[in-house]
Amino acid sequence: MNVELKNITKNFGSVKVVKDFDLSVYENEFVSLVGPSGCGKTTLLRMIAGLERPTSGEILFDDKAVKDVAPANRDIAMVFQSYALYPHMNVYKNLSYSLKVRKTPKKKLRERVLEVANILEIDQLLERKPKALSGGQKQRVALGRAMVRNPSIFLMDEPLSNLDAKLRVTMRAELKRFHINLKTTTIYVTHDQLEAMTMSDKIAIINKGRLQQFGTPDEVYNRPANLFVAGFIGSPPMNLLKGRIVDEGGSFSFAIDSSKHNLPKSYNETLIKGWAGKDIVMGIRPQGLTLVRETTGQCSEAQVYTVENLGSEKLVDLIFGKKTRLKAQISSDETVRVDERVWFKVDENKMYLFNPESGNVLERAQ
Amino acid sequence: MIKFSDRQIGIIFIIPFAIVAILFMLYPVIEAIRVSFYAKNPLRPNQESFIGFANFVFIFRDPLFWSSFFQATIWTIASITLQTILGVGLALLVHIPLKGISIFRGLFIFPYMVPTVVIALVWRWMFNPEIGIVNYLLTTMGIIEEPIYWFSSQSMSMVSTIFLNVWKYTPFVLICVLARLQTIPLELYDAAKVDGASVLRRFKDITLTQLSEVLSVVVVFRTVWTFNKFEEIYLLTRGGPGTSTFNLAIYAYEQSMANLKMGVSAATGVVMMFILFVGSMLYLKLLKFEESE
Amino acid sequence: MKPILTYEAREVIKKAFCYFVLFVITVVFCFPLVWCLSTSFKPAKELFANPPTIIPDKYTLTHYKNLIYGKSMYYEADVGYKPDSSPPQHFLSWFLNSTIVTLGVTLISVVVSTLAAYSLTRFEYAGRKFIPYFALLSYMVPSIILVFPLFLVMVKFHLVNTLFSLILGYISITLPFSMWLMWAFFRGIPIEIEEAALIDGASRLKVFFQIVLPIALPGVISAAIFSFLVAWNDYLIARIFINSIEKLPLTVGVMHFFEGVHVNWGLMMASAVLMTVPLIFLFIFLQKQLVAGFGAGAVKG
Repeated sequence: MNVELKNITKNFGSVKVVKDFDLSVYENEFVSLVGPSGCGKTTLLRMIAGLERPTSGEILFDDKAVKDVAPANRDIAMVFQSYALYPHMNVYKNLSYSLKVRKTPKKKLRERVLEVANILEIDQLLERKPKALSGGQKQRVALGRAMVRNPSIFLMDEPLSNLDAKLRVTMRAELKRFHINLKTTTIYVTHDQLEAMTMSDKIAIINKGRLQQFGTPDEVYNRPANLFVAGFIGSPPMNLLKGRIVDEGGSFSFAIDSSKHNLPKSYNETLIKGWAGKDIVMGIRPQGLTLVRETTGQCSEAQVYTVENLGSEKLVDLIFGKKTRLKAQISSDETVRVDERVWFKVDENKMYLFNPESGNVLERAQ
Repeated sequence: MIKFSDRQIGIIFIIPFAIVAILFMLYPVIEAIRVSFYAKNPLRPNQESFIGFANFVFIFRDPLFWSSFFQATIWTIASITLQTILGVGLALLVHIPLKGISIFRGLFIFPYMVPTVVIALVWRWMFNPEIGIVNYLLTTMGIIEEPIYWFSSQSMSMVSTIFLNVWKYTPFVLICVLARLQTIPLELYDAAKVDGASVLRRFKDITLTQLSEVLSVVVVFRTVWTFNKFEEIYLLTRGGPGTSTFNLAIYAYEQSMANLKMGVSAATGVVMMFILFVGSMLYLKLLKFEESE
Repeated sequence: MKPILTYEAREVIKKAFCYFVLFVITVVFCFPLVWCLSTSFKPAKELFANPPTIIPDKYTLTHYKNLIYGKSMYYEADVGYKPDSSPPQHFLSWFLNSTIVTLGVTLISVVVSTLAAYSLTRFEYAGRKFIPYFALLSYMVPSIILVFPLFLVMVKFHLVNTLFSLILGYISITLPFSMWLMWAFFRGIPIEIEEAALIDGASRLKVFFQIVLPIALPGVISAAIFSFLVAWNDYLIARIFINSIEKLPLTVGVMHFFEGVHVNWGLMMASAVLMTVPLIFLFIFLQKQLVAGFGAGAVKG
C-alpha cells in the first residue's frame, strides 16, 4: 500500500504542531519519521492511523482519501510506545482481540495466533498476563498483535525506546528482518537517529512540525539539506563553524579567525563569488578532521580539552578560539595529551557550506 | 527536655486512640451484644434481667421485623442499582475533556456534602402534595392530573426515600469511579480503535473491565451502609406512612424509644451486625480475588 | 459515500448534546438547594403564589431576622405564641452548639488519629498490623447499634445532656476512619526522609512535628473535612443524648420546627440555608482536597 500525505497541517487550538507536510511512502518501504521531542512525528503517525484528524490536507492510501475513514477500516496495525497491551487479557487474548472483534472463525483465529506466536517465539507465554511479562516479551506481544491481522501498513511509535540498550540493539536487527520477511509498508517513529539510519529505506527528518529532508540514509548523511539535518544525523554530530569566505585575488578560502582552509573544488565558482566577504557556516564531521603538531598553513590552532578512547578509535574534544568546541576523530594508534596545543586540518572533500540565515546547504556542482 | 525512647513515643502516641477505641468503640459493641440477651428499659438502666434468646425469638416472630427487613432490601437494591448506573454514567460524562468541565465536576459533588437534615427539610417542602413545587411542575406539564401524595401513600413514600438516597449518594459513586477512570491509559483505547473495536465494545472490554474492581468495592460498601441507614428514611417519613418505610435501623430505634425494649433493639442490632459481617467477608474475598489476579 | 453531515458538524452536535445533559443533571442536583434559597427570601404570602417564582418578586429578610433575633424578639416583645410564627428563639444557641461540637470533634479526631496512625506505621509492637483494619471495620458499624450503649456510658459518666457527650459520641465515629486515612497516608510517605533527619541528629519528636506533619498535611485536611461533616450533619446521636432544647445542635433543633401547628416554610428554608452555609465555604476552599482524599482512601480500600 502506498501512503501519501499532501499538505498536512495540524493545529491543537492555537498551537501549530504540523505545518504543510508532504510525504510519499511507496509499497513495502520502511520509512522512519525522525526528529527531536515535540517535532510532530507522533502526531503525524496518529493522523496516518486515523487517531487524529488533520486540520487541513489529504491523506491517501493507494490514491484513496482516508481522512474520513475510521482507524478500524484503514487496514493498518500499530505498535505503541508503551505497548498498550490489554491488562486484563492474557497474551493469547491480546493477540486474538482484533481477529475476534472482526468475527474471525475460531479455528482460523487460533491457527493465525499460534503461527504468529511461533514466529516471535512467545508461544510459551500465551497464558500469561501482561504484568507477568518482561519488557522485551511485552514488546514482542505488541508486535504480534500487529502482525496477526496481516495489515497493509505497519505503524510503529518508538517501540524500542522502553527497552534497555542491549535489547534495543538486538531488536533493531529483528525488526529489520521482520520487515524484509513480511514485505509490508512500515512507517516508524523514533527520536533516535541511529535507529532510523540502521533500519530504514528512507528517512524523513522533522523539526518543529516541518519536513527538513526526505531521503535514503546515505543521502541524509552525505548530502544533508540544511543545518538541522547536518547536526541531527550522525553520531558524534557534525562540527559547525562560523566563518567567512575570503577572496584572495581570485582564489577563495574559508576563513575562520586568523586561519584559512581550502574550499572543495566541487563548488560552482559563480556561487562562491557571490558569497565572498559574507558570513557562512562550515560543517565538517569528526572523521573529516586531521590533527597535526605543526602548522602547515591550511589549518587552525586549538587546544585539547578531553580525549575519549572508544577502543576502535579516539574522539578528541578541542577548544577553538575561546569558546568553540569541536570533536575530531583519530585512529586509536595516535596519541594526544590533554591541554596539548594542536592544529586541525579540514578535508575539503568532506566539507559542507551552509547559508547561515536560511540554514540551507550550498549545492555542489556535481 | 526528657528524652523518650522510640518505643515510649510510639506507645504514648497511640494511647489516646486506644482509650477512645476501647471505651467508645469496643465497649458499646460488646455491650450491644450483651444487652441483646437481657430485658432492659432505657429509662431504668440499672434494672435488667437475663432472658437468654427471648429477644431474638421475639423479633424473628414479629411480622414487623420481617416487613422491615423486606422493605430495607427493596430500598437498598433500588437505591444501589440507580446510584451505580447513574454514578458510572455521570463519571463517564464528566470525564470528557470539554471546556469548563471542572466546574460541573465540582457542582456534582454538592449533594453529598449537604446535611441529611437539610435535604429532608427541602424534600418535604418540595414534595408537599398541595404546595410543593414538584407536584406543581408535574401538573402544569400535564404529566399527572391529581397531586401525588409523596409521603402519605405507601408506594410513593418508598419512592421518595429512594429518590433522596440516590440524589445524595450518587456523587460518592461518581467520585470513586472518576478517580479510577482518570488512571486508565488512553493508549488502550487507541489500540482498541486500531484493532477494530466499536464504541460499545471498547466500553465493555476496556472501561468496564478496568472499573470492575472499584465498582465491586463501592457497591459492597454502599450496600452495607444503605441497608442500615437511619436518618435518610426517618427524617423524611418517620418510617411511615404507618410502617411502610421501616427498615431495620428504624425498627431498632422504635423498639427502644417507643416500646422501651432496649433488649429487642439490641437483638436487632446484632442481626444487623451479622449482615454487615457477611458483607465485609464478601468485600475481603473480592480484595483477595483481585490480588491473586 | 459521503456522510450527510460534515465531520465538524457532527462534532458540534456531540458537544452540544453533552452540554445539554450536563445542564440537566446540574439542575437536578442543584435545584433543590436553589429552591430552598429562593424560598427563604420569600414573604409568607408569596410562598403560595401560583405560578411559583424562582426569583422572588419581593425579597424579605424576615425569616432570617426571626432566626437570628429570635431569642430577643421573644423576650422584648413579650409576645405570646402566634399561629403563624413559631418561636425560633433557640436558633442561635443551636448554631453555637453545632459549632462548638464540630470544632471540638474535628480537632480531637485529627490529633488523636494522626498520632495513632504515625505510631502504627513507624513503631513496632504487638497488634500494629491488625489495628487499622479493625478501625476500618468498626467504621462500618452503623450508629444505631452503638447509640444506645453509648448513651448508657454517658449516663454512667453523668454526661447526659452535655455537649461534651456529643463530642465523645462523634469521635467514636470519626476516629476509626480518620485513623485509617492517616494510616494509609503515612504508609505512602517514604521513611528515608525521616531517617535522613534522624541521622542529621534530630530527635524523634522533632522529626514528627517538623518534617512528617507538613508532608502529611493533605491527609490531615481530608481527615478534618470528614470529621467536620460527620459532626455537623449527625442527627441520631444528638437526638438521643440531648434532652433540653437549648443544648441541641442545629440538626435536631431544626426538626423541631415541624412540631408546630402551622409549618412556616420560609423560616424552615432559611434555617436550612444557614445550616448549609458553613459547609459551602468549607467546600469551596477545600474542593480539591476532598476529591483527592476520596480517591486515595476510599478506593484503595
